Amino acid sequence: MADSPSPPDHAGPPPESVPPDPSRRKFLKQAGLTAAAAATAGAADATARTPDVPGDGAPLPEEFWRDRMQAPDDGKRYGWVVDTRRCFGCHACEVACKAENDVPLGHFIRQTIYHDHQRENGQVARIMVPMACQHCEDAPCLKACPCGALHKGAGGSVQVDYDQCSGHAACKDACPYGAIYIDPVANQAVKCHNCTHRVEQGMEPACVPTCPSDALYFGDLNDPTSSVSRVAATLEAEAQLEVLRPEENTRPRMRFVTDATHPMAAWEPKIPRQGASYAPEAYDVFNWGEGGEQ
Amino acid sequence: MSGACEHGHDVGRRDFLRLGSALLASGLSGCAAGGAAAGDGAGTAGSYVKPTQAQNLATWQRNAGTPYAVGELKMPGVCPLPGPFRKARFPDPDKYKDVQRVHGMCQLCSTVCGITGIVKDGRVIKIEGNPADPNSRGKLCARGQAGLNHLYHPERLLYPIRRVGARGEGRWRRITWDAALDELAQRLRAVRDAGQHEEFAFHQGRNRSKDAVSRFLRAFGTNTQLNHRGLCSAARRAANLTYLFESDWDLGDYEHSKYVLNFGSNMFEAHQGHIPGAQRLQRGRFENGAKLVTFDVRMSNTAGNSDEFFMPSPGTDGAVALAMAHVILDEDLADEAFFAQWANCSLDELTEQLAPYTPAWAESVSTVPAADIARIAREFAAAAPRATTMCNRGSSAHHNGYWNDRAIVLLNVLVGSVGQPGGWCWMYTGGFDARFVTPPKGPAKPKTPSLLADPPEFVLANRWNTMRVGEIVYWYLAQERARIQVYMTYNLDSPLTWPEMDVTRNVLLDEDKIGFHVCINPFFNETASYADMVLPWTTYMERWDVDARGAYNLKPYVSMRRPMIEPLGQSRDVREIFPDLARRIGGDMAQWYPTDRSTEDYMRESVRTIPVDKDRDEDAWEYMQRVNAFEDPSLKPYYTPFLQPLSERDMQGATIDDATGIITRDGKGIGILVDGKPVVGFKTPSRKLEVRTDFVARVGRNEDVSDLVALANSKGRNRPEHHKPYDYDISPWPQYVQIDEHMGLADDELVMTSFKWNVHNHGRTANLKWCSEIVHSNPAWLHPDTAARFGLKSGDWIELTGHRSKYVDGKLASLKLGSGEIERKLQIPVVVTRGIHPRAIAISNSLGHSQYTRVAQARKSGAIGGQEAGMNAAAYRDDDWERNMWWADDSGGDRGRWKRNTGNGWAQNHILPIAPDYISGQQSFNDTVVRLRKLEA
Repeated sequence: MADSPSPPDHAGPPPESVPPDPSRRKFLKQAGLTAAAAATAGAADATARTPDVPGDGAPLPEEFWRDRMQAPDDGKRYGWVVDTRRCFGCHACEVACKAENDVPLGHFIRQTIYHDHQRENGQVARIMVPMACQHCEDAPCLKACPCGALHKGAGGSVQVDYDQCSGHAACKDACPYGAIYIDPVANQAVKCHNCTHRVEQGMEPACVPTCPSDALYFGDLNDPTSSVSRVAATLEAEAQLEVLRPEENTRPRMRFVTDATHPMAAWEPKIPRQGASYAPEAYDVFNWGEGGEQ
Repeated sequence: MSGACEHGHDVGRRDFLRLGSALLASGLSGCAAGGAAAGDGAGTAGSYVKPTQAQNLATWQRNAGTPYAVGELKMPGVCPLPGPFRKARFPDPDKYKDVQRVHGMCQLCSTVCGITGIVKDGRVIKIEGNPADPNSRGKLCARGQAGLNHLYHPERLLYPIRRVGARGEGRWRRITWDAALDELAQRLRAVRDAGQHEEFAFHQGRNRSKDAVSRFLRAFGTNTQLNHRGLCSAARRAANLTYLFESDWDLGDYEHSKYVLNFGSNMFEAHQGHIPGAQRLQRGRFENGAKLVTFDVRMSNTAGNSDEFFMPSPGTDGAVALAMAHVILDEDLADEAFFAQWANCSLDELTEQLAPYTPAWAESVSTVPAADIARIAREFAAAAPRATTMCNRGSSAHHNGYWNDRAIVLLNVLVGSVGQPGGWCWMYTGGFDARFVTPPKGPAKPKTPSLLADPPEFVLANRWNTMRVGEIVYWYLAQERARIQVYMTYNLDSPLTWPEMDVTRNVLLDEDKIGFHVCINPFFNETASYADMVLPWTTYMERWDVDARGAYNLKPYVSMRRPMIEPLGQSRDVREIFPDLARRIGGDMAQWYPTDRSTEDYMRESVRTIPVDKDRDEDAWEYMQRVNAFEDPSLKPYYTPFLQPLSERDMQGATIDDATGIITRDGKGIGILVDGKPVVGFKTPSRKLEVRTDFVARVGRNEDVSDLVALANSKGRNRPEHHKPYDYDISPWPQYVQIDEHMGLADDELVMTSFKWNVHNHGRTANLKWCSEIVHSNPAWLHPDTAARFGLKSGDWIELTGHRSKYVDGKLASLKLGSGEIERKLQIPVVVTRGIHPRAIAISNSLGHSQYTRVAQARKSGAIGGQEAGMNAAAYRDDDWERNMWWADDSGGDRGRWKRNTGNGWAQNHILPIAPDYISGQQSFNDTVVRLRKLEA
């Protein structure tokens, strides 16, 4: 039995066989996790399904992920500012992302959440929040991944290595913000990757320049002249920047602009909770009101 | 690559290369789904046989389960390694290397934002906004971003088809272009030979190739060019033209404004200036401190994001606006100097006219609190001149829409924000900068009037600009007031988008009323299903235009549409169809289409005078390819054009009227004296803003207004002879017109209003899967109080009965539209929300397709229908659609089993009557009185 796996060879006859570890199935049976494994989205053939991991999203020992949690030494800190006062829910960012990444229907790297509510003055209003991966500095998805696929890429972007990811969905289970889905064809985790393939070519992430309301800002927080740094500096002075679910202690690189008429407490309950992913239900007009229904 | 793909599809080589490979990277997971299978050298060696799925899985399983070791820690063997369909190179670091950027213009709505297609290996892999477009400035909405769904759609029409069997039966056969054009030419020649040119009708839904269409229709000799304007913006335009004459389109200077007062416009989701206007509005608010106040029957996203939001009863915007005017007058908040100089009446006269319109009265009519009406009026006046109103279909698509908008525009006149930075502005052109667009000369306009294009009952529909009254066309045909021998529809979906669908349908099916129907469209839509021949039209990413739209920089510009790729299949643009057709018709038509001039030549000649920086670009053509937008840097924004001085040369031979100060030359108005100095003034008969309009009052009575037209010397004309019997008494003053049938509603009656979504336009985006994923269903919006009265909760079903308008029937009795119930009813579920007025019920008008591809029908799979003869469905498969589409309605029509947010919605126009405004020709989409009945589960 080899100590480290070699990549599968798809283009020719099978390599020297590496028999599966018989202790694995026994371990999982004892952990009672086969049912959870069955729930993991993936190939239709049950024998091909990946077994689940212990902990269902709990962090693994630190030595396992310490290196991957270290961002590369490129001197950049990519971050976001999302202005919930400005967003008018046009979905351009979501569809730009779908187009950029060929995201399957029913799955979402980006999703805009609507929340209808009544303001203190009695007038009804709608808060619209464009959501994606928060690119946490202390990323729980990275700590839960048993394959070592989640890692920090350019500027500290939390990214997936598709040569490693085998679709355990521990990352999806760990994410407190709903930002990860499992691709139904590849059976691998997909999340916002900060469009580093665009950024390296001098472009912005697909969602940013298309926003007609200038609600999305992305860039290098180490560079005081970047648009995100300048916007953050202005808004910090006005004490209007917040992170989502600070009690999770994930230190997100995404901060939201809020104010008295766009309080985070109003819309936060609509963001998917740990273990869930952005789902089609968010688009259902029946769910726009408070508590899902008026 | 040819033969069978791994899914067993037979793929012809040429088709695959032209279509299949285009799908892979363009939003469709095609036959070679997934990264690994496609990328691992599997495409080149002719003798290589790709492993089957079973083989791949076996390989994968053999390597699975090997434990990881990290130091001494052994993780259980949990990582079986990526599977056979793993992602490879995601995201692809080389994606944007070696690409061409081909610029164009979107056409999924009327805003025509500049776009850039990223083209790689002959495929468009992404569409973005073109940052050089001075209007949209690089931004692009969800619809535009979904353009890939449009271009590479599996159900694109690629071949001409001809119906088999009866019209509307749904059986089709593929024919060649030769056969199609020969038959069409023969039929059109017959119309010409019989001297009945006007019985060839061209009906556009949206036309951005105006030069090409005009050339053909004029060469043919028909004036029966029909459109959709009456269903859209006729009342709003008529109101603007009443004040200005010069322009039908206001362009608020939102970016520099301090106060934007919005009556019913949904700029953040729709509006003809959507992306350009919306971005400037938000910059005005968040960078210039502007306040946005919205009045709307329903909480649109614009209303929901506004700083304050009030809900008036449907059709009462004018009441609120006049009450605000009343407050401004009453409290001396008007800009007296401006009004004295530039309104064609005095403040005293206006005060007398508006005396009844108090805030208390407006509250009784609109339900908006009087105190708020007064407060907002004061705020608006205080912010002036950097204050502007904003309004569109919410206020104007009503029986009284023309009056609502007259009242709203009046507010700008009162506070002196007309033409000011941050105020209520306009441009002298709603299209491109004509100084730099010089297409080859075309034929003259034919003389024979067309009854269908200029129905005599409608006063202002064609008085300044030619707006026509689109919604009356099928009724006219039904009543045998006109007939059509050859009906050519172009980018039109009238069976879905026109009011009272049964009327449209019955007329379209009747071969006595419409002899021959040819439909030009990229997809088989509802219109095509009633046609005799369907011609596959190219998308906006495969053809040429010169284009621009109402410019929010207040400077005209020029941009272009150009092919990003070769047209797919056998699709053709009218710029190719018309020359060919004209030559086949023969006679004097061919002279307008010289055979040695290609479309590209025509375009090159059209833009050759655009000035360029010779160090950067050889010529205009090169510049347009590189940048694709030109806005003359020497121009200033069109602020206060009425203050432009007249030169000495202008004044030579001019006469000044002592009483009015109006300056004329050769009997035509050129300006007005202001403080003794000659300026252009407004291009109206009074050379001022026409608060009081004698022009409209007089043309209402079919009087000769040549004297007024001469003084305006810009736009305006008499009503033609055939309008003679239709006289009306129209007040020259702004007023509020009460829609009587909205008063005294029975307990089970509501006013049904209509709306648009941010991911859809009226009739042609439901086929875009990324847009339909977000919005595909349109339950009716009801207020909780209303729902409680009917015992309804969210998800319950109702039956609605629509009524034809008593008001309209009274004004247009000769049309015999009637005022009773519409026979067909609408069964629809409700969603209960506080975001709708208690007296109203709101249903989106954009959904409920019966055709327009399986995407618009929300069908995951199944037969396409006879129209498949015009497609290449075997080569196209969208695995993503067939596997992942999640909103199919599985209830089989059983309401009790219907799941929320499934299905493709309900077509409101089943119960929405034909309801044109006798003044402007505007179709009301927001006034229908409906009776509601709860349906038991």
